[in-house]
Amino acid sequence: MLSLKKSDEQADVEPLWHPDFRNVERLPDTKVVRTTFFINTAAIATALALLMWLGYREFHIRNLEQQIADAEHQIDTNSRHNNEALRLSQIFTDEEKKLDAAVNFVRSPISITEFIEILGNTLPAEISIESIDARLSDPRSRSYVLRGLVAGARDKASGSASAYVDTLRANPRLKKVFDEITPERIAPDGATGLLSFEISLKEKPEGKK
Amino acid sequence: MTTADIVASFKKQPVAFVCGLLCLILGGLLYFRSGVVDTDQADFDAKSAQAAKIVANVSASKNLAEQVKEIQAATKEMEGRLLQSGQLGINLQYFYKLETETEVKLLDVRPNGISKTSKAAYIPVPFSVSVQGPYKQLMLFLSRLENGPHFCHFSSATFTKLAGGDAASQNMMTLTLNLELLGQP
Repeated sequence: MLSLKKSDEQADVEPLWHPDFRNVERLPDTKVVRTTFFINTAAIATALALLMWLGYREFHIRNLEQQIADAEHQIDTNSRHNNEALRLSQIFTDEEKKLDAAVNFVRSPISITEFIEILGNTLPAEISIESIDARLSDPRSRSYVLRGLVAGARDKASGSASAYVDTLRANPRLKKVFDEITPERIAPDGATGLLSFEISLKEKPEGKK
Repeated sequence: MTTADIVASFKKQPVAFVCGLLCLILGGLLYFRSGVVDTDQADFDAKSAQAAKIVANVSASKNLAEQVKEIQAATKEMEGRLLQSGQLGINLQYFYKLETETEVKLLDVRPNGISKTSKAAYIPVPFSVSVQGPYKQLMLFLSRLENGPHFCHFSSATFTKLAGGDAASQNMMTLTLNLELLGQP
């Protein structure tokens, strides 16, 4: 850029041959694009940028406040219905708990009558069940013990008792309910002379399939 | 900087001076309003979540009143099937009635001690029952207990063939039960 102003450095370098009467401060700015233009442009641009930023922020705040007002209106409008729904829901939960208590009280993987019916249906002719002992108080270790007698010669009777255990193990319903079906004892019965046996059936713990 | 200097600067660069002043004011406003967006956003998030929950509650509860009526009726019916733990005579009558209906011989029926520690709405009322009869009658007795008007839970059950060689006792069995019937305190 051309300028009629002379810097102070030049003044120091070249000695003046006549007195310099110029008042540099008062001389007009003769640059092609005046410095004031740059200053004004920068100042206006900064002010505009800040104004836009503030405007955007205020618009965002206003928008949020409007949405908050809408949400509050929605809350106020539905609050009565909501309170009623919560009250009914609490009643429902309380009643459901009562029904659940009754359902859990009677719940059992297999009823005693169903168990006995299965025994009746699977019992071979040579086997007689003398007693059934069901221990059901502890839900974690419910078990049944069968005691009976096997007719016939002892060598065959022993095989019949084992075959009966296998029959029980193979029964789909019993397989679903019991974890273990084990012969606890097979021995001659002193009173009858027949072979007596004891089979233990342990229910699967709750939740195990 | 004196007032005269400020006035001189203003006269020299009036636009820049006004813009600078405006920038100062805008900067101050931006600074002081900077927390409002975060506060409003948090407020909006909380309120919109609450509103959505309420709307969901209201829309999900359209048939709740009828459902509550239904479940209350079911509970009332269920409570009608509960024993009153204090009514010993009436409770024992249940077993005597079963004895008559199923034609078994009631050897013994005894109420056991009720646990008082439980604060539940319903309590198990325990009984020891011993009956004798043919297999079919005993099964009928057991079935009536399982599917009868009262909620029954068996703690233990022992079926034993009656000892004895005579024809009458050949088919007879004894059933000893420890059971609980659900009742109200």
